[in-house]
Formats: sequence, structure tokens, C-alpha cells
Amino acid sequence: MKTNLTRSLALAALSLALPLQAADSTGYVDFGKFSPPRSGGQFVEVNIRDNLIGMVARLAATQEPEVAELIGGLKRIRVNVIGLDDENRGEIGDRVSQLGAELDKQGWERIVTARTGTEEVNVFLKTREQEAVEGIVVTILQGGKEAVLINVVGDIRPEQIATLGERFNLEPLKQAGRAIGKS
Amino acid sequence: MQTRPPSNRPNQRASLAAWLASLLGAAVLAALAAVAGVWTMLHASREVATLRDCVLTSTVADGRKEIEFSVGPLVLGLARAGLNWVELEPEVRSLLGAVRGTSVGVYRLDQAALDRPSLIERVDDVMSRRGWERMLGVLDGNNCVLAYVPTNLRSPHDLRLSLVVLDGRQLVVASVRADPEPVMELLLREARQAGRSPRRSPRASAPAQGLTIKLLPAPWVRAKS
Repeated sequence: MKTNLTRSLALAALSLALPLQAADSTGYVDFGKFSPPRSGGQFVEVNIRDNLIGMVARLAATQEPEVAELIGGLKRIRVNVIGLDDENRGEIGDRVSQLGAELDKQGWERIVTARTGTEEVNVFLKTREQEAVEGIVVTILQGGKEAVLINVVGDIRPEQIATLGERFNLEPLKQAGRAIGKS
Repeated sequence: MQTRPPSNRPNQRASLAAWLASLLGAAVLAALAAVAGVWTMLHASREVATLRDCVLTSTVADGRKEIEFSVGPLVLGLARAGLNWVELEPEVRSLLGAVRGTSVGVYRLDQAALDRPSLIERVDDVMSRRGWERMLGVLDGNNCVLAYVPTNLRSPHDLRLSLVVLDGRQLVVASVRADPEPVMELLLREARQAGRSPRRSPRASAPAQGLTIKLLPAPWVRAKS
């Protein structure tokens, strides 16, 4: 069962990707291919590309121009949720650790590290100069039961994050916007 | 001396015969169209049939058809016209108005699908060759849900979606064509309303116990300092 903090962090990371401008895909991270656990545990893959995102942005433009602007340049959203069992726990844990190390090498900024006894959350940002965030990666290992990987790609202007949070009263967004604004 | 005009009877008979032939032809065409329409309504669309066959091949299972139907714009338009006389929530009416066509097939497999990962791979392969890409894949125990959208979306008001839902021995395959704008309006309206009246859960405001959080300053701030 996910904790509220984990859910909030995941939502905040997802929400960070919503403000957008057209951009290349330097914020894209290839997690590789995952196989569902043979024990029948949960396995979720979400892969939304710019074609669908752009359509949503165009549809939202008439009703909510701010929202449309926020999501208009998003390039990709990828979410993987892999249930862990005795067979894949070690491999997935290693892959997540290697991913973190690789992102550190590639110049991604690790802005959040959260650890409980059995839970670990990391949030990485890929920035372009001091203007925008090009990509976000969130990795969550939950108590040896589940691994969550999220990659959001697009040009993200931090000042729009809080705006979206205020607009829809999304607490994780407001917190993320305040945190980035204060820092 | 006055001359009589030539008799028009042959011309009249010819035009009457032509008129009857046209009427008969139109009636035959209408009957054929009606038969074709009914046949189409009682069978799955090409996308649904392709998905069904792909799943059945991958699971090495035989499927017994429980129901198949397809509904196109004409029938949906008639249904919407009929629903004008029924009291419906505006949101429901709006969502029904968004659908342009749908095809659904429900099947009972003679055995549960065993190798779901390879099932996903095969369905992905077949669908990608037909110009579809998987947007969502969920596996949980005996349940499997796959959702596909076209790789090239032509118009923001013309969204096609193909779904596979496999639950043990029951397979549901569906294809929907719709204008997503009413759905988007509904979602945005709900989001705005939720934003105006947030629900606060007691657990949400409880501080996390035993949690270490390290929040680093943003890189551009660090660069400045």
C-alpha cells in the first residue's frame, strides 16, 4: 500500500511536468524493457506521447488556456509500476540503483532523496541552463513489494508549477512550486 | 388543315418504365443496405476482430462468442434523437454525444490465458503493424487491460481507441471512435470544482513518521551562489 508521502511525491513529480514549451527530448530516459512478475503481481505501463498530449492541449485551450499552455509542450509521459517478487526483486532493485547512478553521471540533479526503513524515493531533474527543467525522473522502491519509475519529458518553467497548483488547488503542485521558488 | 400531334403514348410508357425501374432499383439498394447494416451491427469491426484473433492465437485458447455488435454514426444519431425524450444528466448526454461509433465483442475462453507477457508482445506487434501504439498496459493477477491509440492522430476531434480486457476466461475487445472534447470539458469542470472544494483527509495532514527527506536547492540557485 502506498504511503501518502509517496503518493504526494509521485504526484508532485508528475505535476512538475505539466508546464510546457516545445523542446527536444533531452529529458527522456530509456528505462528499458520490464517483464511482468511471473507470480502475477501488479504490472503497469503508461506511455503517452506528444501526439496525444498535443491533442489534449488543443482541446483544453478553449476552456482553460492556462492549462493548455502548461501541457502544450509536454513531449512524453512514461510510468512503470512493477510488482516485486523473489524472482525479480534483486534485478529491479539493481536496475533502479544503476539508473540513479547513470542519471548522476549524465548531469541530472538529484533534488529529492527520501528513505524510510523499506521505502526509497528519488527525484531527478534535467535542467536547461537556469530557465527550465527538461525532464523529471522519479524512482520509488516500496518495501520490496513494488517499484515505480516515472519519466516526464518537456520544457518546464518552474513559475508555472505553482500557478497550476493554485488553479486546481492541487497541494502537491503548490508544495512543489513553493519549494522550487524558495530554493 | 390541322395536323394531329404524334402520339406520346410510347414516350409515356418508356418514362413510366424508367421510373418504375428506378424505384425498384432504389428499393433493392435500400433493402441491401438495410441487410448490410443489420449484419454490420451484429458483428465486430475489423479492429475488434483483429484484436480478438490475435489474443486467441496468443493464448492458444478457443473463444466462444457471447456477443458482438457494432454501432455506427447513423444508428448512434438515431439513438441520440430518441434519448432526447428521456431525462438524462447533462454530462451523460454530452458523453453520449461524443461517441461516433463503437464495436464490442465479448468472448468466453475455454481456458485462462497463461502467458500474458508474450500475449502483450504479440498484440503490440500486430497493432503496431496496423498503425497503433499501446498507451496503457495493466496486468494484475488474472486481469489484463491493454489500450491502443493510433500512432498518427489526425484530428483532435476524432480519437480512436482500442481496448482489450482479459479477465480469467472472459475476453472483452472494444473499439471506440469519439470526439474527446466533451470528455475534456467534463474533466476540466470536475477539476475546477474539486479545486474550489478540496476534501481534506485526516491522514493527508499527518506528518510522516520516521522519514528522512533531503531537499536540495534548485540547480540554478546553486549555480548563482
